[in-house]
Amino acid sequence: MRSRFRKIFDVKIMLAALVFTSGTFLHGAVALARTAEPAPDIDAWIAEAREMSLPIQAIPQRILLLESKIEDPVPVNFLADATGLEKISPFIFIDAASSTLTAKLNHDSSAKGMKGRKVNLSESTSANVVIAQLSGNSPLLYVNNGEKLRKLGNVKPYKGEKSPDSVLNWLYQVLGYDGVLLARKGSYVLVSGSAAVLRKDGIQALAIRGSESQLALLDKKRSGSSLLEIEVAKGPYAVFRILALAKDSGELPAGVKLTIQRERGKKESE
Amino acid sequence: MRNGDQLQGRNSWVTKFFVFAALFLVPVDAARSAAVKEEDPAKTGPQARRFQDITSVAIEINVAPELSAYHRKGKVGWNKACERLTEVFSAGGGLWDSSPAGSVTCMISGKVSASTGKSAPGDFKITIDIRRSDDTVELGMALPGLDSKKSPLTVSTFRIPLTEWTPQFLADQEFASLVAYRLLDGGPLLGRLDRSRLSSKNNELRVSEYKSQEFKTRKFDSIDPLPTLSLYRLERDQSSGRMFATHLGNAKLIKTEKVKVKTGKGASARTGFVVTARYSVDKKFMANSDGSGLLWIHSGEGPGSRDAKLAAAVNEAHDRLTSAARSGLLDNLFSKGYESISDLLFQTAASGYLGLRYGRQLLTGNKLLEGATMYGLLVEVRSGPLNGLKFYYDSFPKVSYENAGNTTTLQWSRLVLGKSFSFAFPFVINRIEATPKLGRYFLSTTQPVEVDSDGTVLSTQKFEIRNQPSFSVEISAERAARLYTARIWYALDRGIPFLPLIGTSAVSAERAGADLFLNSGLKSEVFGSEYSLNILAFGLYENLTIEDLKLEDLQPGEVAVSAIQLRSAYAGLGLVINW
Repeated sequence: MRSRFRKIFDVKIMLAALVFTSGTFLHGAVALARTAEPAPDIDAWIAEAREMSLPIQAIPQRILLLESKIEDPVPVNFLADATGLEKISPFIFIDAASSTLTAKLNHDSSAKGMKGRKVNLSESTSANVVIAQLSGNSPLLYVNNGEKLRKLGNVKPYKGEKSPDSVLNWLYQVLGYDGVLLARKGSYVLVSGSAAVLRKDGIQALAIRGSESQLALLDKKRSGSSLLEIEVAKGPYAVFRILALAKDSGELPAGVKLTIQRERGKKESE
Repeated sequence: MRNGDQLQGRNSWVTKFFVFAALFLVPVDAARSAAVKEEDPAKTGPQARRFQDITSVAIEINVAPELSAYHRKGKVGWNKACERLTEVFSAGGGLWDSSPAGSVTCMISGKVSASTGKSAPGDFKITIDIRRSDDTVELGMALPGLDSKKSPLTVSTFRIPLTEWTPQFLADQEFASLVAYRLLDGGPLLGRLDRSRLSSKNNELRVSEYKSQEFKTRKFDSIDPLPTLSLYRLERDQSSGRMFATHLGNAKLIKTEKVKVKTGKGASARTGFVVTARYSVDKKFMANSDGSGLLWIHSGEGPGSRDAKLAAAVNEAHDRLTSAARSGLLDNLFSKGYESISDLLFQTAASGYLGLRYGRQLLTGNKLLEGATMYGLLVEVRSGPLNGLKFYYDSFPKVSYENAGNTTTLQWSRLVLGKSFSFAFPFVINRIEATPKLGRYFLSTTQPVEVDSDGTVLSTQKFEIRNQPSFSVEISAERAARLYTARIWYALDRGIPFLPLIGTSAVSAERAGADLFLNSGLKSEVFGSEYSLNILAFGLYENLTIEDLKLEDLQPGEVAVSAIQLRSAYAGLGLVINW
């Protein structure tokens, strides 16, 4: 009884906070909208962002999807060819051919015919996000905490064909967000996300507070720190304009995760 | 909206925010965010773990100071070698259009001797070190910091003998290309994919054996083009130094073509051939290649997969060059190719050893063999058409021992002819040889057949074989240096089914030994060829069994020698002429 009361109370608080916060947002957002400078050139910004250094925990940089257990001596890759996925996402996916070639080029002992040094899976692939046992009912999600892979827990199993769109859609669900903020310039932020989502006109996104050091957001409870609207997109990258910024949201650091509107909202004029 | 288009017709953000916020329920209390907590990135782990695209490569070749003056006076020096090395290490300048470098700098004792292209700050830097190691030249290729200490990682290394002609050899396009190819084969980048070599549909790739064919001057056997190529993008983890490949596809060899070509006009016109390999590029590459960025090439089998073959090719090439140089035929080899001098090399018997040796029996306990001696003639050809030929003649003069009026005797000899197959070896020893041999044995002995309890010989009988065939296989390992050549060997003689039918006896033996050739420093030049005198010290152990296969049934009380077994060990000295 107390628990139910608490839930109802929480929802009321949240709604009240929403109205209160939106008022706060309104004030700031109007100011941002009226003084908005021209959006930075997206191509130049993408090139610039590629040279940036981000903490390993900030953004999925290399993703490894395994059919096998992570402990298996010869891990079996889920993907035969990752290039289709890389065309529609900002991530690097490690496929079987690439990981084999990588092992050979580094003279790892795991490569066929090589008598080089032994390296663990994390080092050999340099993956900071690994999802293992994909053929099972409860795949396991591992992320790199800066030093080694750490198990986070079970995630939703993948079902269906291995088409790039469906794999990417599933992956974003598993990670618990739709995009990552890469950089900010004034009222604009550079975001990486799914090309399929970003190509939609007029979509908005919500930056998730405190998510810059988390590779996966497994909990559904989260709080927003700012509201963004898309300006221009290019493949898996987009420039968003900051519409509203919570007063206590700080600098919007690189690595902040975003929940992006999947469907365009109705126009006021319609 | 298409990618890159400016968004038009922005909606009222107020409306959208409420719709959006309502959809995602935004609790404001950040402290209650129950997302999975991880350590603060500022406090743990590397702060930067970014992957740098390898889009350009710079190679720096360093010739060590101790080598700079090491070349024959008046002949080609290291500056010429540097020029050639920068050429063959430049992108597409090596064998089968190999080499990834956009810029190459060759330095002698720290000073730039030759360079091509311009290096840029973002280049991936590969270092080639050429230094002296005892009496060899060690060539090593290193990549920048592949471990946490950022010390360069040598990924490919091998040695060739150091001679006064070494820089002259390295100034030769064919030899320098072979050397560069072997070094690059051990690294992460064998070549750069030049899109001009791809057909318009991206489905065929052509590579040439040599960038600029020096017509009809082939000095060495061809290195076959790789059967499959991996085509990939490459990144480097800035923090660990590891490289990460994104495999884009494969190319499979379709055929190799030899096309006649003609260059120049009038008196300067030259005709020759260009060898081109045609590859079929797979559908994966055609689907994945978007035409952006540089791609890299390596063997489908990965680095070092053909090292044994390349090592043999480099050693064979070096042997040919050395034998030509010692025979005064190097200029002929460079200008007219190997075929033009092979006959001359044959006439001069190419390089090798000719020697005589003398040894004494070491084992004790056998009165007959105590004091036994041996004389031997040995000939080995180390290059040219008869490369690998070995001929030995060992004679064991008659020894005798008298016991109670009965004399036992032993005298034997053998002729052995073999052909060795050598394989380069990367550590400590330089090469391993396998030598099948055919031999002829001659033996005459009188052996005791009746001995009383105190060892007194009561009667003897003669046992004799003549021209008895044998077949054997010898395995040897050799280390060669300027002052010495050391070799250990083991040989096994075994009867094979048809041999007993040819002879009347079956020879089986096990032999093992060691030879040490010491360079006396005495040299002489005869008809342009250089001969040097070596002192040979040797030791060998032999367990020989000869069985009489034609021994007829004996009558009761009759005694005959059915087999002879000899265990002996000899050590001695010899003189060997090396050319």
